[in-house]
Amino acid sequence: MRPPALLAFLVLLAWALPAVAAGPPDEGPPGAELPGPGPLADAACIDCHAEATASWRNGPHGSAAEAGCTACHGGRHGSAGPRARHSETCIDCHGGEGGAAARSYLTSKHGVIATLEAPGWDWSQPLIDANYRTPSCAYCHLHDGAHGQMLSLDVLETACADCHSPRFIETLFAAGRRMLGIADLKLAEATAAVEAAGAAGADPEPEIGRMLETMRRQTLRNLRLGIGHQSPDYQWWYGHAALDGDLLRIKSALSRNARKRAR
Amino acid sequence: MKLCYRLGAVLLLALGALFLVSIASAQPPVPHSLEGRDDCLACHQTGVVGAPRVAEDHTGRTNESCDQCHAPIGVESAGMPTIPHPVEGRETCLICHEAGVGGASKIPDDHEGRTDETCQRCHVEAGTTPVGEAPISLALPLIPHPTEGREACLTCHSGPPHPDDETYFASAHGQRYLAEGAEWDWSKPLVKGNYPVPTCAYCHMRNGRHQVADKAIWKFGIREVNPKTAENQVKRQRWLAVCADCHETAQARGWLEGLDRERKQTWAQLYQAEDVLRALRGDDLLHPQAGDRPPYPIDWWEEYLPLARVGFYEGQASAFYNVSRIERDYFEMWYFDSLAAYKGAAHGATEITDQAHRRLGRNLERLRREAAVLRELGRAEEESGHRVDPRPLWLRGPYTEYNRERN
Repeated sequence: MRPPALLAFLVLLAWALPAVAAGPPDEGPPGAELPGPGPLADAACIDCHAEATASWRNGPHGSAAEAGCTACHGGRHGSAGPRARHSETCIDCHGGEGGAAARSYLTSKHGVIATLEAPGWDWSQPLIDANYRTPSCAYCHLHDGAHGQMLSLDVLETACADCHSPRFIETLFAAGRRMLGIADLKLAEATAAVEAAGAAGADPEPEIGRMLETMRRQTLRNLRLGIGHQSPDYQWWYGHAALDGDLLRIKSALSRNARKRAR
Repeated sequence: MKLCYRLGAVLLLALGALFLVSIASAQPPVPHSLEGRDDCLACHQTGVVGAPRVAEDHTGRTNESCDQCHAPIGVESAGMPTIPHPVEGRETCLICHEAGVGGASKIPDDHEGRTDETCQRCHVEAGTTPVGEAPISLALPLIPHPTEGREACLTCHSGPPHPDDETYFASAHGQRYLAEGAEWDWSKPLVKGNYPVPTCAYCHMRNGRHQVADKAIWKFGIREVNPKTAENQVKRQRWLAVCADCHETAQARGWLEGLDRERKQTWAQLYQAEDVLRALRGDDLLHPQAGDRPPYPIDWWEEYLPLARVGFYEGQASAFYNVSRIERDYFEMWYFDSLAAYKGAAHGATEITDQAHRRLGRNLERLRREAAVLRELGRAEEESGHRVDPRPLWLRGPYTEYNRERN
């Protein structure tokens, strides 16, 4: 090849490479006809978006009643991307604005920055590195457009690495693991105490069973959300401090019952 | 010229043209109303409150030239609000927007006579790409209230011990901020006359003072104070000066004294709870007693002289783990109910204060009932001469042992 043509080719390559390397996934076959103005139904998506459909089917949304394509993407092709990128789309089903998922996000640094600045962002941009200052729900939970498993720790760690340094990520993940480890100890203590009382002949009291369930289902979940979303309040007051409260209340109930039986 | 050279030149020219076109259509649009914001550089030169900074190659350009390239969001002219909700299923706009039902913004007077069909000629659904136009980039708000850079305080000043955000937003000040704040000119300093209601920084960083607690009288709410000491009198005057920016001083004084009464009333109830606990402690009726559970790691002598701590001055702050339920209940009254009531009163969110007071009252009653149960069980144990040993349950366990080793 002669010099000018080679130069032109190299320039073209350098210009095109970024788009090739970091494009949004699953945009449908090139040259495919866009569907009509809509409103579209779920079935209209499958032909062009087979990959996303397959991974969706394998994930938690695939088996949920109301979580098909249009539930998050809406019925218009033009607005499908931005619609699904907004955290509001997820919050409606996942606990609402006052629910733990939304509140733990909104009380985190990510959430506050999003509150301050998100309306000014260009939501037509794909959810990849450097397009957004902080992540919305889908940025992490459907990282790289994966529609399947939404809570894999490995994937989440990759998402953090889009913006944060390896040391920072390592520190926070290690802290999170330690917190969960300690939470497991608290749960183990509560469970063991209840079982020991049962083994000692106590009638299982439904109230205590409920307290144990709440500790597992609600308080521990708050802690997980606090760690995942980096919300101080959900890690502490609704998380670990609340676990302390659950544990001591279970023990107090067991103590009281033991004393009543001994009367 | 040889063919390959010609082809190379044409290719280079084509690339150059494409490059220029991509640059030309990439000027970010203006995602906010321009009203009252003629001075673009005031925010965009310095980057205050998250405003994107002007590009370096814009050096020397003045405010007058900005809008020659940067168009505001909206189809035809500046400031046309986009539709912040999906349009699907909501094609009859006037049903909500004529009367303003459900919080929908009312259509302005100059829209009289217009019908549902014409709305979307000018108002675009946020995030959509109208046919034939460059992509418009405005987002659905993450939470449905104005968000332009005024809520950094929330990161820390929220949550059960200090619901500052909740109480502020529930107050008349906060409600007005939520409704109108996005339209205010935030380039103006936080002084009298520039804002219809105060923000966090307006009151707590008066005249730009960064010592945010310089007027604090009530010590965060965690202990009772004498609000009329000489030092506090000075602070009270400074608070009244802030309120007097907008309110009659006599009215502000009334509110401040209302806060005094709220604190006095709340502390009276907390002291009643403390009395109940001290009586139980004195009669050795707490179960587990201080020596039956791991010592607090506060003081080295705790192991040899264990003491159940009651109230702020005895270090109540630590007493929410591994204590008896009644002690934890007191902690929550002191740290959650009282502090919520305090912040509600301080910010003017009377409903939150009332709710917190009712919770406090209910929890006090529950505390008394629990105390009665403890008395009854204690009496029965004394009569029988047999005391159930709490130590196996309270001194052992995976977490208790881990904690004792690590602390």
